[in-house]
Amino acid sequence: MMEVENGQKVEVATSMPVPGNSGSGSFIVKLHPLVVMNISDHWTRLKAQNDAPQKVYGALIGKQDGRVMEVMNSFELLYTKDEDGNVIVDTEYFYVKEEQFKQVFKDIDFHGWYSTGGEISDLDVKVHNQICSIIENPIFFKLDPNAASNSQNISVYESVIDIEEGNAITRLLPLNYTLTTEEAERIGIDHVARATNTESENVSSASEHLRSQHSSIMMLYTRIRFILGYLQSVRDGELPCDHEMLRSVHALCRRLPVLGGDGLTSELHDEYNDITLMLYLGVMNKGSQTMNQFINKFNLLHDRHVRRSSRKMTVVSRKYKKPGLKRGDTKVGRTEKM
Amino acid sequence: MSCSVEDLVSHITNYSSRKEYTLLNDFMNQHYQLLLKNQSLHDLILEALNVQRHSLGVLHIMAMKASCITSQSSLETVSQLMQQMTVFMSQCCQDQLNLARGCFANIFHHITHLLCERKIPIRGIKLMCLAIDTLQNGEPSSLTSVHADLCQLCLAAKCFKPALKYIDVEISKIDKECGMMTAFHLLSYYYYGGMVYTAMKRYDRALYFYEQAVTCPATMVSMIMTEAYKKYVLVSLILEGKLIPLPRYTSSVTTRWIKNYMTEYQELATEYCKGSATQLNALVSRHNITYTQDHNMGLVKQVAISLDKRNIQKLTKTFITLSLEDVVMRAHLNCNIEQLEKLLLKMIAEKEIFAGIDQQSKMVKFYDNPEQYNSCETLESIDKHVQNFMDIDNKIKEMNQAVMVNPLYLHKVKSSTSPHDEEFEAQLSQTASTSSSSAPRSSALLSKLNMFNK
Repeated sequence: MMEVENGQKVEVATSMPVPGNSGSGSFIVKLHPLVVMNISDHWTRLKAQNDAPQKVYGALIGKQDGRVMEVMNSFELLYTKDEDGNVIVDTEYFYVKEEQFKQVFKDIDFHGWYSTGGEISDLDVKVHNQICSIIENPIFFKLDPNAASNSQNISVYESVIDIEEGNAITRLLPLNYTLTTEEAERIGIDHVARATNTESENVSSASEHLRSQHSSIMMLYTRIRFILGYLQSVRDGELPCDHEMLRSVHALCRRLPVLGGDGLTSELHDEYNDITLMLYLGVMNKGSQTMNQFINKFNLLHDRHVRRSSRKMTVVSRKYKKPGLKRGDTKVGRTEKM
Repeated sequence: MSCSVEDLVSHITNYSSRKEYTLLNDFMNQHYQLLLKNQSLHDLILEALNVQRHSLGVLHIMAMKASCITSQSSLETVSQLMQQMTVFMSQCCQDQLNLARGCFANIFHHITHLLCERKIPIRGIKLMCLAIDTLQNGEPSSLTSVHADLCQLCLAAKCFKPALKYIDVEISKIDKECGMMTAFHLLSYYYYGGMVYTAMKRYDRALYFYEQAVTCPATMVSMIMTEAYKKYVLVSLILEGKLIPLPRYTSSVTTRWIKNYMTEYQELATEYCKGSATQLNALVSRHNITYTQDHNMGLVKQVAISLDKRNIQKLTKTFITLSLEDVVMRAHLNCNIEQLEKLLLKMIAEKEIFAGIDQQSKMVKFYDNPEQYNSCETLESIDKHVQNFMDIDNKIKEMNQAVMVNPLYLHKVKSSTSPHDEEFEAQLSQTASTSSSSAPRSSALLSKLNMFNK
């Protein structure tokens, strides 16, 4: 897919990969911030251990759904350097690690590898070829720890086989990527990031952010109520009618976007109800735990002999009792106290 | 001891002025029999006493008066008693009342009995509500023996709303009423309460109440439990379509007795589960006498109707459209098309089924439940459940605290070889239990207790 772009002939050595344009590529890559965190941690650790920055190598794992590849996690790879300075990836270690990961995460596959450094080099292509032997079509993720701004330090590449001058060579083409995350991951990563930067904070900035959002919404709400109260008293005749005030309120209303369509309300309620249900589940869990502790104490107090077949216990309420404690549950209750 | 009016009044006023209420209580109890004989004096004594200051004395006299009224007495005496009780309750002093709660509740048992005899139960409902409020004294979740009376009167009068207010609240405390509250009152409360709910067609709550009555810890089976079990079976069939098994903590005497003696109802349940309406009706007519004797025939007929409805509901899971004849055939109904249509219309109106009937082609079209659960009402109901649950959680926490500081409990925890521990540990590990194995556990608890006590 080497096209002569913009009338320029890209003068490159045969083994140099084409920077090219950041075209569409054949994948869309979604990156989880956990991966970035892992790689930077890896690099920082090695730098601290060896007192000098080193190039690190590791594997990327994730899920692929058609053209969309979601890179979720990463782990480090063992490698050896031979006489020429070429890096040989230890495939055996890789297979062991992959199997271990598969045991925990069943539907996550190995999709590529990462490294640090600046521009793409020969070395990278060679390692890439080695990875290609393990898996077809891997992606290559490069993190530049020394890059100044945020946008330029992460680059993702995919490989294409090109025929040039009779030889099949691999070229690495940059891909577009987007950052994607779940709320929990975001808060967790924030937490970790904060912990490395500032030692004092216990709270992640994401939850702080949400909290400040909440307080600002509450403030907005109280202010709107205030205005509403004013309008109601004007309507009831308690306060004199001030046209200028009314005009500004009217202007305020005009500025609101048109909300409140049926679809929006039903979706809002859907989500609201789901979250309330989850809250209910959490409350039920806590209640079960309290109940368990109480029943254990009650049994102890009244010398109830614990038999395998039946337990006598006070019924506080049928709806909310645990459906007959079994042996294992009491054991859990006891170990809890320990 | 002479029982002239002046003597008695002077005694009562003396004790009350010195605030020796317990002594007064004992005095009244001692001379109970004596005073009982002199009925005519009661009214005179009452006139001389002030309700507020001498509540206890007044209460005892009223109790005697109540026990004197028999089935032969006139209606006026009963209404007069009721009026006096109303006045008493509005003015009485709670502290004095607390010493003779059982006596107080007894009066209402009498009144209920008298009203039911004379077939004018409706007159007593308001009085009972007042009595419950007085006895509960601000704790709406405490059970008194008057609850059972109220439910009984409501059932006899077929006026259920006043009772609902009291039985809708979950019970978390049982008022001992100076030792006069017995299992009879508890069982009657749950039995009558269940009947009230059954009459209101709130079958889920009714089932819960019957279950509570049947699973009361018992060493002997009481008649109330047997009746409650019969209704339990019927309501369970109407509500769920099968006999929900009793919980595991039902006492063994009850389970054994049920196995041996409740055969007609068990057969009804098994027949219902098989799903054939004709066979069910055959069984019902066979055991007609038993059901009628138990006054359960109405419920049994409702069970039969619910079987038909359930069969139709099963069809909604298999078919999307069906002709009316097919419905009759597949649901094994023995009614003709018009009756089926009426039944379907009724079910649609009561939201038991979602369907449409096409008159021209005589087809029934079954729809899905249009409820999306994305409305404000769902949110409110979930929120209410969460609040309820948190209330219950708080109550359990309180009970937890109460147990933890109970000296008996502390004693048991501290003793490192309590027999309970030994048995459990022995069963667990099948080795001889040593004090060392239970000591770590006790010490952990102790540290927790220390933290709490601080």
